[in-house]
Amino acid sequence: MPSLAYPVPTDLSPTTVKNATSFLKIVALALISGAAIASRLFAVINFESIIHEFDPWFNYRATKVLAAKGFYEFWNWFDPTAWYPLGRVVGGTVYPGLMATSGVIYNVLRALNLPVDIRNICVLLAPGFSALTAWATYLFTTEMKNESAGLLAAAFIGIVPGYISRSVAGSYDNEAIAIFLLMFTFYCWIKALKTGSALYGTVAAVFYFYMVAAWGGYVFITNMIPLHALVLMLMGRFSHRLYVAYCSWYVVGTLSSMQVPFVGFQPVSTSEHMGALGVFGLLQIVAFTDLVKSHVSSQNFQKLLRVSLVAAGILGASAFAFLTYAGKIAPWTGRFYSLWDTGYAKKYIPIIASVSEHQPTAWPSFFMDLQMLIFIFPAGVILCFKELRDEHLFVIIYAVMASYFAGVMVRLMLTLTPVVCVASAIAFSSLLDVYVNPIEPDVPAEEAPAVEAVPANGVTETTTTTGGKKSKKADKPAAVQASGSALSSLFAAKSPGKGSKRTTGIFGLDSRGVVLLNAIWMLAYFVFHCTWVTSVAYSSPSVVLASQNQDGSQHIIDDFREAYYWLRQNTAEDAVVMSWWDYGYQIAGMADRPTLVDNNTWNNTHIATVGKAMSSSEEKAYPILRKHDVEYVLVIFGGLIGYSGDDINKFLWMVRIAQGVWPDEIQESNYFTPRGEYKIDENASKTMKESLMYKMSYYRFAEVFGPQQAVDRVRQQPVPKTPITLDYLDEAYTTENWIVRIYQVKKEDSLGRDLKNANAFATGKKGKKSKPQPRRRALVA
Amino acid sequence: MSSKSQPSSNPMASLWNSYNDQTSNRLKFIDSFLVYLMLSGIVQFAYCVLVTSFPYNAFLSGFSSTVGQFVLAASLRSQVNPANKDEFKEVSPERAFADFALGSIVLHFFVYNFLG
Amino acid sequence: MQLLKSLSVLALALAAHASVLTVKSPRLVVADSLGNQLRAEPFSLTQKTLTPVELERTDILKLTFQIVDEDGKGVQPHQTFVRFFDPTTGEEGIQPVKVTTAGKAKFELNVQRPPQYLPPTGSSPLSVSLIIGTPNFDPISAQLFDLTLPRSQPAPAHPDEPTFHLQQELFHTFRPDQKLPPKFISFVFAGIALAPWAVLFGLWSQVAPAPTNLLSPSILPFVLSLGALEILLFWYWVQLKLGDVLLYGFILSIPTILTGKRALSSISATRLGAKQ
Repeated sequence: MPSLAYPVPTDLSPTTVKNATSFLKIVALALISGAAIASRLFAVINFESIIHEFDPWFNYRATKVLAAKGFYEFWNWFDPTAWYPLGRVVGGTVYPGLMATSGVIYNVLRALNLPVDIRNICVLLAPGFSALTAWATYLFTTEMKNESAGLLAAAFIGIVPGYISRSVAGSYDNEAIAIFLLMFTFYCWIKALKTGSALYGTVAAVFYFYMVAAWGGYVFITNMIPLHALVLMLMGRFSHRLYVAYCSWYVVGTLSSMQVPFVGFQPVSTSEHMGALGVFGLLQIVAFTDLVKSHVSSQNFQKLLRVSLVAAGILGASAFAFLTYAGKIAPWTGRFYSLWDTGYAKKYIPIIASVSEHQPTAWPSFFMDLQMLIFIFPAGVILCFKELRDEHLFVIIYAVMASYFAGVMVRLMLTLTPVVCVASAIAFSSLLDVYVNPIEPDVPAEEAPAVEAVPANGVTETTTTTGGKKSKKADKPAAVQASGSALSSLFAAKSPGKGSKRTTGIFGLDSRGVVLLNAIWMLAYFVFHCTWVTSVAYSSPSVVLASQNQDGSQHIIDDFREAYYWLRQNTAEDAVVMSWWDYGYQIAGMADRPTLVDNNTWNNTHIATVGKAMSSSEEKAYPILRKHDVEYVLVIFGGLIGYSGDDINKFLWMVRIAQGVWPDEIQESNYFTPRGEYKIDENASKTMKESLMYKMSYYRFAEVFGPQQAVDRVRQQPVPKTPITLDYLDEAYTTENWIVRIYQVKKEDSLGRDLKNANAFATGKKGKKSKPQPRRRALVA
Repeated sequence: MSSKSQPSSNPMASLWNSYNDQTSNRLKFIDSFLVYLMLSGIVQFAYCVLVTSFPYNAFLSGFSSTVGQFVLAASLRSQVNPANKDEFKEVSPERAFADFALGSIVLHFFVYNFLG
Repeated sequence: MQLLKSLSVLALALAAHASVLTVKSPRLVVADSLGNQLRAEPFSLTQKTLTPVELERTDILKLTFQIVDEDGKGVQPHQTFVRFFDPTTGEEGIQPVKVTTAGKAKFELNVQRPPQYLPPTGSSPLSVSLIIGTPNFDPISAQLFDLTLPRSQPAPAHPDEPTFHLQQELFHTFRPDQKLPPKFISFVFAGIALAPWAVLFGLWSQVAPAPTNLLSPSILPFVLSLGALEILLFWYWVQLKLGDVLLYGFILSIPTILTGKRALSSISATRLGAKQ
């Protein structure tokens, strides 16, 4: 009977303990789900039940079509109002998983006589799925370590800001359901690998299919699982379980992924998917070799191996040459290149680089999104190395890959978050395991304290004799060890000692208490941090803005909806609205008007056309506008109240994208001052001042300030007083805070005059008397 | 087992002998199914390369149905193989057959869906 | 009826009211730059002058006339124009003519310094007409003569000219239809594709496994429900829709799972029993 650090009840029957544990587990999971859902509702409480941001507006609009007209209609939906005049085949260019999910929920609820508005389903879908994600993460981590680690991981993923940022109520985007699918697919894969059951492989494939239907990030799974299988094979860990799990997943998963129209034949034709196919082929070879090996002697086997290797090499090389020659395998896509070369996008595809979520991640955002988990995460990965079962390898690979990708693109922080939660939970629960364990180490009385004491003092003593410089270095690890770092004690606790009987552990309640209190404090602080970040940073719908009044009360700025409803009420139903592509989905969703470009940035030339119109002078832009039947132009202007996400700040991207297509007409350098500054004040370059965007943004702006100097509050620069004249556009509407300004494009003059002359005439300026040209011209002698 | 101990001049022959000796009829039954699937897949692939790949989705679904059925059957084979008993502790032969049936049905569903 | 009556009354009233204008002493003169008259003759409103008027590069065309009413009194009409019209190209030029209060009018066209309104020379001569309009008189539009002008540059095209023509019809180019191979090859390959079945049955006849109790009451339902599922999937290919298949499949899967559980547990029982 080992000695205990604190009394533990001994008179409990094992069944009682088991029942109590499972009951507590269910309660804990329920509470975690509740917390996960609740912390995502800040947006609804602070603002209202509204769809957020940009892409969700399209998803919402598509879901409304799906709910109203049914699945087949949705499948064949051609939207003539998007990408005017091209239109968009929505059914074939969309990942339908999200909409289908909401549609199914909507119809099920209706069948149960619960008439819930489709908007509320869309708003609350992401929080609902976050509860499922917590459950999936629990299952996944349980496979890695045990149930207590699983519960910790579930709690982490439930409230970690890195995941909340994409799944608050109203953020109705593909990622909302994709992370659940990602984790569940991984869980099924691990389960299939562990048991060697084709059932789990098939289930993994079915969820993989769901994932393919839901999010373009499915490629991550497509490469993670083969990579894991490949690493296992290279480490000589091939087993028939691996064969069963991988093959059943790959075959069913690949075939099913081709059912999604947007994916089509890509899984057998693009390079992103070739890795999975290669590993599949390799597995067949290895499995067959294994079978042969079990039937022949090693000598014969080697002979066979040699022959078959040569044959396979020749066959493989010729097949690859043939396929490349025939152009069957498509090269890597640009987005994929930008993952490897962070400068690639800026050089070749400015449209990708212009999206803020494609920028490389800033260091502080790691802490902001993951807080203490980012520090514990490596410890968890190291703990995985210690045991290094097949599934631990998966976590390690996942951690490495996801860390890299999260560093490349802000957006991919989302794929890193689950593995951070899992690894941190493993580390944290190992820590708690050691320190909560009541059993005192049972060692010969004299030896143990000596072992414990020596590293702390002995190292310093020995090194001080050798020299001062070394001792400083050595002091540091010693200090770290002495300060009760979790890591060192963990290694001490788990690593096998020299003697077979040597046990390690913690003595006394005080040392336990210090560490445990510290851990609990960290956890509590983590909760505070998450709640704070969620409520402050990630719960803004960005359609509705909030500001603080001077007395601290909240002031709602609702300019976007004001403008969109103005468009909806006051313009013809087929009036084409031009804006920068960011606002395309919102205009389509809220104003229900055709747009030239929207957030589905598939046609670079079309976007560049809009960029060109915005960045050229009125006379040059007017023919472009008229050719595209544009009736209204919408710009976002934050200069009056200091809304920094406005079009003038995005203007350089418009210029760059336009320059990419018309390098002769638009040059970025023309928009800077001679000193290379981006200015909007008196010193702004002539091209800048004459650009349509500049004129539309600052039209009549100076008048607001009366006799005072007009100041742009975003750029903190004075705005020139000279009134801006617009000859080809009329100001149609400007919202309360001037965030959205809408201009109407004038029709051609009914007297056939140049609009500039017509405007000059109307304002009373006498134009040059123009003589009509004679039709008759003498022959040149 | 004698063929195993003495180094045979022809490795292929020794392989064949040992296979015939060591494999139970049940496994041979599955193996012949595997051979059938392989031939069928090869024929389809040859047709695709030699003649036309025109209804590409039909070819893909046909070909992947043979490949899929092949790997599912191969999985079944390795699961019921007594030699691999240690690897599959949680999978009894019956469970393996249930997995096989489920996997096949899901596979066939997608195959028919893709066939056009 | 009422309407017709009132209309006819109105027409009568107008006819009674309107009177006719005529032109007194109309005269057409063509002179060269030195003032020599090359041609001088009267013209008529009722009859077109038969010989076309030809002007050289330095010639001057003069028209003189007086507008009088029925009583011979001079009238100054509101509007008096000379119109030059090229019927082939559609080019036209209209020039107002000044008329004195006594109704006297004089029009001069100097080809050496062609005025703004003069249309360019086309292939056919310009037809010149006189248009007079004034209240209380019947309007006059009289063809006077044809006019041949010295050659000029062809008429310039309007910048928007191309937009007023039929646009070229758009033809969408589609990928060419995929060709189906000839029937013969299809059949040959269908035969080849079916050949592995022979191999399968051949091999199976060699290695027929021990007779199984496939028809035992515990196993048969399972096999049947599996078969039913497969038939359902085939039926899906033939006609069913996705929703139906999912529904029927779900319904069918329940008995399949139940029978499967029973069948497999009975098999495993016999297997374990045989071992012991």
